[in-house]
Amino acid sequence: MIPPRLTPVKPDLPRLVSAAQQGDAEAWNALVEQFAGLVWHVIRGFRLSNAAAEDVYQTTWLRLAEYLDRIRQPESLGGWLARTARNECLRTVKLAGREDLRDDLDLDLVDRTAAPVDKGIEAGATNEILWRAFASLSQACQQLLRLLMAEPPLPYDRVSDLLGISIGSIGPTRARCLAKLRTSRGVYLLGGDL
Amino acid sequence: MSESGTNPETDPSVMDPDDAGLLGELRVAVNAYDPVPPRLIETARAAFVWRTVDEELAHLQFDSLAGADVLVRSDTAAGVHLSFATAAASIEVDVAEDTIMGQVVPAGATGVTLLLGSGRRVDTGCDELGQFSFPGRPSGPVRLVAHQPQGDVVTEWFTV
Repeated sequence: MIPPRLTPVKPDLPRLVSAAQQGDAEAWNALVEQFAGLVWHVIRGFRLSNAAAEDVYQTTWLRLAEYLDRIRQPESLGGWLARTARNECLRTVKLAGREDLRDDLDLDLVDRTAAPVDKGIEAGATNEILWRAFASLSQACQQLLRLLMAEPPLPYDRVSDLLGISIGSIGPTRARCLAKLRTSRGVYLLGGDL
Repeated sequence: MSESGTNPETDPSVMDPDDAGLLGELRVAVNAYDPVPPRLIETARAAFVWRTVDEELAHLQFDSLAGADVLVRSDTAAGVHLSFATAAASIEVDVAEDTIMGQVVPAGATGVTLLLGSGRRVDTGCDELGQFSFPGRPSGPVRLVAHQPQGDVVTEWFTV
């Protein structure tokens, strides 16, 4: 009998990057898994069409693949991915300027057939109310909150850099955006600890 | 929002506990309603096969769409201009409505390959000045490989 292999919960970044640089596809997949959500949050902070958002997502990872061997500070990988995705989003917005790709946030990208992570009806309802309230926030609020909810967390100096706001204004802006969320119709009625 | 006892003015890591709770709930909701589509995770995984190993990478030097000023809409209906370079060579790219044209400098490249993220590839030749052109305007990320006598030079990925 082969004993089950114990996988570390948080494989360390330097080891993964170094293994991926050696050609280890498993290590690459682990990197993808770790940062898939961060890149997605950055892109979804922009109002891009489905196709454009998907192109940016793919481009960001292709860029990492071509730069992989040049990464000297694995711990800054999250910030690098976020900045690469953001720059590509800004570029895409410009490219789309005359093609009118800049329509409203396209929720069709969300797979509606997949049931949301089900934690019972009540939690599901809470999620839906929060999601709708979030989608109605300003783009600036959505961008900030998305960067702040990314896991693993993005350092605040990166957040400041990406959004072009000072570190000192992150706290107050976050508080304002969350206050707006809290007073949204529905969220307000949830009451309790929200 | 309670503002007592916190100093968000200077340190964003100081956070009202109610706000921290709400942000946590919001994270759960957003991840439930707007998760990364699985096919995009597959795309990200597949990007690994494009690792730059043998060719020399030509870095982006100029992009007519670069810059953070998104409020100024690009009215350059003429197209997009990009420039890539290594220490020894450069690849100029002009993207028009339905064609990609360019030039490899110094002249002498035997041909250029257009690679698409999907894995498709299109080859074309270069004239004596190193000029090349591809018909059509691909969607999604692409890159160019210039075949030079000294070896292949490959551009960064770009979208047009």
